[in-house]
Amino acid sequence: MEPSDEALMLLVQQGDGQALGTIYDRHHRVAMGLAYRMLSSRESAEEIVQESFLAVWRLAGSYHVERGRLKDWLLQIVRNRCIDRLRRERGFGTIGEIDPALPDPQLPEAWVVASQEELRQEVSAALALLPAEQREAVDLAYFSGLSQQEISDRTGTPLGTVKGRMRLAMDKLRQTLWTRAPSLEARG
Amino acid sequence: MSRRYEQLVPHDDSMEELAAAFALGAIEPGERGQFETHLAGCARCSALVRDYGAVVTLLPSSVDQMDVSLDVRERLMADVATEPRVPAVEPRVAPTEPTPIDRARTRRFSLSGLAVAALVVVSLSFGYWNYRLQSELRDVQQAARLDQEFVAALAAGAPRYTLSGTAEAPSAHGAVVIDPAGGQPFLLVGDLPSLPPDRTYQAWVVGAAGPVDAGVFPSGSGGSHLTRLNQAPRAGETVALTVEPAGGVAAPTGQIVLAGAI
Repeated sequence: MEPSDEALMLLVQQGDGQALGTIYDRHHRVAMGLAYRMLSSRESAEEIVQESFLAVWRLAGSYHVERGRLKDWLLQIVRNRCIDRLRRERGFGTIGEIDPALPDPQLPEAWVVASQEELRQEVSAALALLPAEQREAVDLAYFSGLSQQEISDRTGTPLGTVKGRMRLAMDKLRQTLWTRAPSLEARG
Repeated sequence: MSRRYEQLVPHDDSMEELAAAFALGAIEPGERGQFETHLAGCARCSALVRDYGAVVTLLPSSVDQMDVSLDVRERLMADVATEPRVPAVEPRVAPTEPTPIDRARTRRFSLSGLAVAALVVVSLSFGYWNYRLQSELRDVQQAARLDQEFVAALAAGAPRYTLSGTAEAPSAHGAVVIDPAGGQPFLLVGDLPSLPPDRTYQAWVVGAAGPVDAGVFPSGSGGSHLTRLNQAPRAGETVALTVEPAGGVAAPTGQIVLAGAI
């Protein structure tokens, strides 16, 4: 049987480089997909992927399984590094490695056990259900790393409207994804 | 996480807009402090941020996966080799208490159990399928239990011995981890070459009296594989893997592909 991510991460915490290689083999494609989506450059995305897995190695001691899945932690590192790069290009300050203030997200079980392809289809479908302006607000915040004020400036939309759209978008995504979760469980 | 949120401050609807921005990392720096102060005492906003945070966790799943150039892995592993980690002193998972891993596994069990229970009802008319499904469920449960036991052993700081690939399989790697709970040692291997169906990997404990069969396991597929040896090696003995005919043999006949001293 294949050892779990959690087991591999314990080995990484104990200095086992081969375990990091196995983690890389499992998750590099999703990490690359996210980095490319954010940076639109294959070369830059590959640099971020390499840096991010090296960060997993360096920061392994700060990973706590209680805070969530390894894949989510890794993707947060990838995203933060992409945002840092985007912000440097825009002449802004960087955001650092991990946002420690975010309480642990609690996913419905169906999302925890879903395959990557199921997740891609379901989350893409949920995003597609959003009105274009709400989807844009989420897209610019998550994939471009823009703050609400920066989104307002870029789109020429009043700040209050941006805030409202983002809230509505997150509510609708939550409702859609949580509603879809039971049907996934039934399939499982 | 067992953090509890108390309703210490009145809920403020205007803060809900900030909750969305906070979860997305899009909150303005000037508003962050104000929101975090509110968040610390508002159970409703804390729950909202947890839910929004879960949504944010799912967003990267919407992108297509992409291949990475092969040399990225090579560069990563070269960096790792030149930058040894200092092993964490404190175990990250308390071995004596139920952990989120345990809970997750339990939930997965319950899911698998529900799914299989439903299937079992249907398969009453299909005896063969019933038998097969129950067999698959047992395999899943055994695998999850093995992984839990492995995690507990690592968290308890179990002794670990490295196995290295020979010229027959230079990329292969592995480790024997002694089970502090008294079970047979764990064997973790990775990057073993794939084998044809009529061949298998067989483990041996090699001591003064010669090699003793320590179990067979499926051929490698490039990933990693966790199992237990059925022989416990003693100090000074060697654990080795050879390629043998499917089902295993009484004494090694094939080349050693992986070996390491205990």
